[in-house]
Amino acid sequence: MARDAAREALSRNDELINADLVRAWLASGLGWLLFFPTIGVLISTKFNYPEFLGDIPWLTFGRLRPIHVNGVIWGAFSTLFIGLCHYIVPRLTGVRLWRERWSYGLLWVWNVNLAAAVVLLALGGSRGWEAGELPLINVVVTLLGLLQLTVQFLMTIKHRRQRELYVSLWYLIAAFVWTDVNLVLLLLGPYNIPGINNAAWHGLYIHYVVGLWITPAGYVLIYYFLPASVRSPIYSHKLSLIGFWSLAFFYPFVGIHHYLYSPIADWAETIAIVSSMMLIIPVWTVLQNFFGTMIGHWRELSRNLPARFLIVGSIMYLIGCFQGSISALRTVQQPTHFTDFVIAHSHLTVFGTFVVWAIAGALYVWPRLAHDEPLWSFRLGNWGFWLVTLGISAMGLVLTVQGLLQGFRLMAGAEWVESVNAMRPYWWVRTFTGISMDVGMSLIVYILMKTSLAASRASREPR
Amino acid sequence: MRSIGSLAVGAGFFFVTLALFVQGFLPAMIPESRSKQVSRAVRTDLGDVKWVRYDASDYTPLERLGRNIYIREGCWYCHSQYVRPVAGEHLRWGPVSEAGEYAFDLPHLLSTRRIGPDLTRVGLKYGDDWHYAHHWDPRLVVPESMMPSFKWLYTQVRVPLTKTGDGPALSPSPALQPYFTMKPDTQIPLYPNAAGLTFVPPPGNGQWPLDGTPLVDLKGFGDRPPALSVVTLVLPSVEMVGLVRYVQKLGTNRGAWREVFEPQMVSVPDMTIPESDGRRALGRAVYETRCVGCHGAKGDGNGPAATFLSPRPRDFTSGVFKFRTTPSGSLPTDGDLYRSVTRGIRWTAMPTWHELPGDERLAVITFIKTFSSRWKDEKPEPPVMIGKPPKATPVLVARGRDLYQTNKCFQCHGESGRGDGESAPELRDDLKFPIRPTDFTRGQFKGGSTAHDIYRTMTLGLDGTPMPSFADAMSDEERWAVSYYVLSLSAWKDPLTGRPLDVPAGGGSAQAAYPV
Repeated sequence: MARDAAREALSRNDELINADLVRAWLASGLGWLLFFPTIGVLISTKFNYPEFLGDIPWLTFGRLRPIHVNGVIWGAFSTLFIGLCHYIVPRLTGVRLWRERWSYGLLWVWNVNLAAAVVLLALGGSRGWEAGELPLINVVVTLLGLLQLTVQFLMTIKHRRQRELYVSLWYLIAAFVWTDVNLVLLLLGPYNIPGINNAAWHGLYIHYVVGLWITPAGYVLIYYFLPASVRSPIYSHKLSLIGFWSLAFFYPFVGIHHYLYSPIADWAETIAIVSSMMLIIPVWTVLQNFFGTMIGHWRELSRNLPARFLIVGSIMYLIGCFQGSISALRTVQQPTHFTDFVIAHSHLTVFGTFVVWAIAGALYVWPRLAHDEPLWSFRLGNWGFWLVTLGISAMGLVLTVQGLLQGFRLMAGAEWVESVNAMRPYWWVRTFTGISMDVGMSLIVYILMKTSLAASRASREPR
Repeated sequence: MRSIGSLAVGAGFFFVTLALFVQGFLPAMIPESRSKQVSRAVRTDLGDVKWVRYDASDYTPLERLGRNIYIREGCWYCHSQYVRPVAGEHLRWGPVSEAGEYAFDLPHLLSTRRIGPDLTRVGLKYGDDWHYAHHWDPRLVVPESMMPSFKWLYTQVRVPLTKTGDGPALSPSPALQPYFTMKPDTQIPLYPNAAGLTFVPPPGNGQWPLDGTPLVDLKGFGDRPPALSVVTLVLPSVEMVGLVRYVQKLGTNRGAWREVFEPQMVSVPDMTIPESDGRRALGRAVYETRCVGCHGAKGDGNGPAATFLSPRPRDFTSGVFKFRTTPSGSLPTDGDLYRSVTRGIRWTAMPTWHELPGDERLAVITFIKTFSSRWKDEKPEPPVMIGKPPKATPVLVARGRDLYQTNKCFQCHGESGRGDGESAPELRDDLKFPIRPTDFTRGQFKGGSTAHDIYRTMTLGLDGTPMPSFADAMSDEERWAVSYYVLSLSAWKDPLTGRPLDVPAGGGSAQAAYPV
């Protein structure tokens, strides 16, 4: 029954969507998608050229890194995600979004807030919690924005015509509610919890960003767009249930694995390790659901860009999360913690999976908003796909290798600078992988813009 | 899943609340996690090092300012602040971190990435001067460093030079006004490097101006000074001063742990390193990546970083060395040099090189010896044998105190041993650079901090400095007595501030190695 409901939900309700609104959000998201990852490429060059842009305080590594990290989370990924929610929620509920026009205002606030965060962080306004450096004002505005969206989406869902809640909506509700709570933690945590407990709470915060915001948000997207783009119902409702509840149960406990072997209590570290390993359950469950959905539809991949991005993201998720889980183990962490191994994990998951899924969503939705205008150029889109895919694959590989090399060198007693020097050639490769991803994404954005232009030209000309 | 309510409540609140309770609140309920107590190495009044439980101390306002700069500039993206009990970290950085060390950290700065080294134990590893050079341009002191420079934390003032009978002098410039009172009778000597870069050591609290008149001095270059028409004065801002104060504070809540840090300890062997072209070539490579910034390409102590450093980097071309086991005036043994390289020269810009592979340390010594012809013409005299020290007793220490007075040690080192004696400001080394007498209350001894080391310094003197040999002036036993007294001046004191700790004498454990 759930299958039928989902299939039905996926195939109608077009008239409920405010195309202008979704397009405005997605356009902003695509803009941020070109901006924030590029900051990462810029600062990665500093590994080999530390004096590059060196004398300008706001262009230094220490000022730009938080812009890259927070920008990818709240700018590139979240803006696209929220935009796509404005498409998904009406379709899955059968009603227009509750207080739709609020979202126009919020888009302005959201973008201004991001721009302000860029400026304030560049000026040195960091609050000092990794992945939570946003100045207080930006945290408050982000929280208020998410609260508004929480209310809008919950009210829309409350008024739904569809009695069954499709799995995307479970994750959507959870993501927003969890993150409202988490941002309160970010508001209060950094300057109110003294001592080593500050680190424990920060560990929780940082993994709630990825685990209770980016992850469920990403699931919202793929649970919707994968069945939609390959026109096949989701593989198993039971797996969806297992995936959801195991994520809800295990993910909140993992945060302290960021600070293993620190003076935080050993048993708390152990709980974090055990639940990190248990995360294999939700990850493999949802992936089985996605790959299962593809059964009989693999041919789709030849001409279906959104599906391709979704599947590549899923493969990255398999690799990135396995790496994440095992690197929570104490023995694995001895060499790998503090090295690029961790950076490999964060890029494979946050970019390789979730940003890639968001790109897939945009690729799916955008042409449909433009009167079903076909993609302006599949060829260029294909280039974009391969540049992104090869870029992130190579980046994941090179950073993982670097982490292992440096980690084991240090364990073998190598002198510090020697261990760093050995990394230099790899950092070169890493920069180029970043450029590849950037160019790939630019191509995707370019063809989407061209598609819109073609559509508006077509609508002006009599057919 | 039928109801939004149960979803929101179940997933959104129940599990997260449970996790926040188990992983957030419960660990914070453990008293240890909120304790200020750490294990701290302290020197006893009889010259031993003991571990005691002691409260960590809060940051001073200036250190706190520096900590905020550390947050603002994102230092913590590349430098972690915890030493793990695994991966050999306690042998690389120092004692494993304890909860109490973070008692005053808000927010914490543990960090998750080491693009640069861990900084938990960096306090007192280098002198302040090294940090000022390092933040100005890290590659001045670490040629292969990938750290960015932080030049905007300094003010740069370009001042033209005018020629006078005594050599070049700073032209009067209004740009100097904010930084110098220009009081005519107090001279502040400044030592430009060959490129004209000229560091001005800041006032201790970072509040300019300095009380005196700046004076450019090119004597470091000997007979061939560089032809400079303009110098660039480099003046650290109060933010930079705070940052250095913060960095120097790091890890010092664990007290004098460095005195029992095994990897940097070298007994003084009478060692001769076999010379070969291969070893010298390796030595040159090591020198050019590790030493050249301070000691200079010619080994004359005129590296580009030298302008920042006080005391000046050793001039290897003179073949004179302070820390020897050989008699006054003799060359040191290879073992002596190996010890200086490994242990570093405490409270100066010369760091410990214990991380560097042993063969590289040996090789660089053979290379250093190519700078002076003394090594070809002379052989080091045999090391002076030092007998077994007498047992330290309060009586012996009291005797040392009397001898400290009668032998006028206080003239340079000060009545209370703070290095602030009457003649301290006038002291110059053989190259006429100012040199400060050691402040005994910090316990940071350049030549080593056991009674044995101090006895050796008193017996053999420090060549090239005003510290003479007291071998003739005092008997064997008297020198031991003064050695123990000098050590007792840093007993129960904080090495960072020299201030007394509130430790009951006799407390603590006589544990020799540091806890892992």
